[in-house]
Amino acid sequence: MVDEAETFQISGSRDVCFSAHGEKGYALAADLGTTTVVMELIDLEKGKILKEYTFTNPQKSFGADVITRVSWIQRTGVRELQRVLLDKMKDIVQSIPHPIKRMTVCGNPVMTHIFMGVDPAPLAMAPFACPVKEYTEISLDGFPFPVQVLPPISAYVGSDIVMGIYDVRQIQKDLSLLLDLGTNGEMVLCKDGRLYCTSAACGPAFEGGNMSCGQGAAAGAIDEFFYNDGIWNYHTIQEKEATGICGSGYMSLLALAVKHGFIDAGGYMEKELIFHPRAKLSQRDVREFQLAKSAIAAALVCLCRFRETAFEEIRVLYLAGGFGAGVKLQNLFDLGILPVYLRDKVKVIGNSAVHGCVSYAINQDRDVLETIIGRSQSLLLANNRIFSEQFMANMMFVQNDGK
Amino acid sequence: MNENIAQIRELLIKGKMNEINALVKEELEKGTAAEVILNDGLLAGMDDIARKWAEGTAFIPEVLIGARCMNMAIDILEPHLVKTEDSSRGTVVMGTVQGDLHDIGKNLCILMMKAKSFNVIDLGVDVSAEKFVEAVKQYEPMVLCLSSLLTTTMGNMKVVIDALKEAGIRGKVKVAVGGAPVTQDFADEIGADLYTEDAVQLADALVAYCG
Ligand code: B12
Repeated sequence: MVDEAETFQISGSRDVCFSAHGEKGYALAADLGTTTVVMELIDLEKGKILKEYTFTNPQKSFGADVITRVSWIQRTGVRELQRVLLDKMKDIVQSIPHPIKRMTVCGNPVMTHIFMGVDPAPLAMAPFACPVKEYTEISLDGFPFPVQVLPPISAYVGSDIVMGIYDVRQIQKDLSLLLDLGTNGEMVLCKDGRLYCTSAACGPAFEGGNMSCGQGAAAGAIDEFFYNDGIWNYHTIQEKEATGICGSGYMSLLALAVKHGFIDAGGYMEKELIFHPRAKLSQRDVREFQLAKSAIAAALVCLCRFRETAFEEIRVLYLAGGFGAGVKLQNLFDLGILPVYLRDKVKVIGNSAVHGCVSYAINQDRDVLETIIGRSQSLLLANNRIFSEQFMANMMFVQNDGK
Repeated sequence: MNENIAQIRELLIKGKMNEINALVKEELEKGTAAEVILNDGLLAGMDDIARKWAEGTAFIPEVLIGARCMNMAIDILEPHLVKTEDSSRGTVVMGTVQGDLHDIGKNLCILMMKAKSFNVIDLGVDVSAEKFVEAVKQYEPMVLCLSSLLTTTMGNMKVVIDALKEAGIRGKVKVAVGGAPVTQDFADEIGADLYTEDAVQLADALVAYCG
């Protein structure tokens, strides 16, 4: 059964219109996130989202990150993880009173492979083979319509990123960067019409994961800190009693703590900062954060150096992901995550994967999709010398100037 | 002790690469033996960092930054170092297991072992069980160190241990395993001889083992 109150959100902020072309009927678009799955019910003729369904990926009980889930599959097979997700989606499908014509699905490579019931193990280790590289149409039990699974770029850059590019087609015209700051930190450099992609497994620190008081962006999470005249203050989501600190809270806390000398440039802290019994900042948290931020900063440098592009030359930085929206951009620069030269060039684009997926479900323009894939190339960081160098250099809380 | 060398030691934990390099060059020009700069400056500094790390007052970033400075300075010293083969405590072979390309932690382990005068042979990353077996036959190390950062490739550590058994050489070499997802329980389960949480403990454990 589906629990309406808990899992369904009626689309309010989503009254965006997508260009439609007169086809009648309804379709679904789904973005399979490792943590959260988003499904959109679309009125094809109006080019509008009728309803948005958001739920926690039930595979979470098999592990928070993709690799832990893959290791589970290595022991017991892919079926069970596939089933828990499909069951949840089926419930939603059955609750929809309209006939559905098709469902379009995107996600990171591990998620889309599990969805199709294909063993994802090769994706998670060298030499990174990708079992299903092509656009695939399947029929699934309990889904009385064709299901389109969109193709990834490589074993570590998924169709969610392809949909991000598809959504912001503008990206292909300018010398630009697209960055999705989730657990995997995917990024794309667009230069001369080519798309260079990579992912820097930074871990979940930016989402509050692995932090001593970390939590998701729910009621009670501290989402911003303030420091005035020697006094710390904070704001919690929905002004509830503090229950923890979410990603944007950590960003603002660290930026302030560095700025006011509680943390030195190397990340050293004289003493733990305590704001509330459930809101502290330990030395360990700072170190965890340094690993994550350094992975992103280093990957950005590698990607740009790979195409001999200086940060100064970049015209636009598109910041995607649910995360991008809640964070004060200034913090990302102060902490040395984003290159300082891009300060005035950021465009926050929200969940571009979902947006792109809806738009594809309506327009069905395979040629555009194939063009994007054809122009894409992915860069492996694991055997990249510059990455290791930069990973160490960017541990420091200083501006990222790409040097 | 020479003031510059004392300063090199202190600067290492602060990660001041340019200053360290300048001091190293200055000392070389003055005619100070490269070994003295290495041992009393760089290695002593690395030891300080390692101790602080063990105490919990320094963390991986400092260690990495220190390691980076040290590697740069060693590049300058290298041509001046006189090779003394048999001053080593023993040979260690180390690599990251097949399927895994993470090497920052492995390199740190190697650095710490080298700082304790072990002769370390680095097989790199994505190393197959066959290659590990071959290297054990070729170098006859006292210890074989396996690193893995991915839960999906941890199982390959057992594959290596099984391959050593198969080749009839398991008894000839001690096997140490480590990496973020590895635990003592896992090490016991796959029949490894040693597990430690970090690189300093590994180097210390090997010193205790090899004398
Ligand atoms: C840097 C990094 C990378 C870099 C690696 C660069 C390089 N040359 O090593 C890049 C970006 C390439 C990368 C790629 C990937 N990564 Co990565 N990566 C990290 C990160 C951010 C830091 C790891 C690190 O270097 N730590 C610092 C070192 C010093 O610590 P350490 O390695 O643990 O080593 C210490 C100890 O473990 C011990 N030790 C290590 N080896 C040994 C051996 C012995 C014998 C002993 C005794 C001790 C010992 O001593 C060391 C020093 O004390 C972590 C996240 C995190 N916050 O930790 C993820 C992380 C390890 N990566 C992860 C993933 C998923 C990947 C990818 C699969 C992502 C992808 N889909 O592309 C790929 C896989 C590549 C591959 N096949 O290896 C996951 C693993 C999850 C899991 N459950 O296993 C992590 C945890 C991030 C996350 N939560 O998602 N990654």
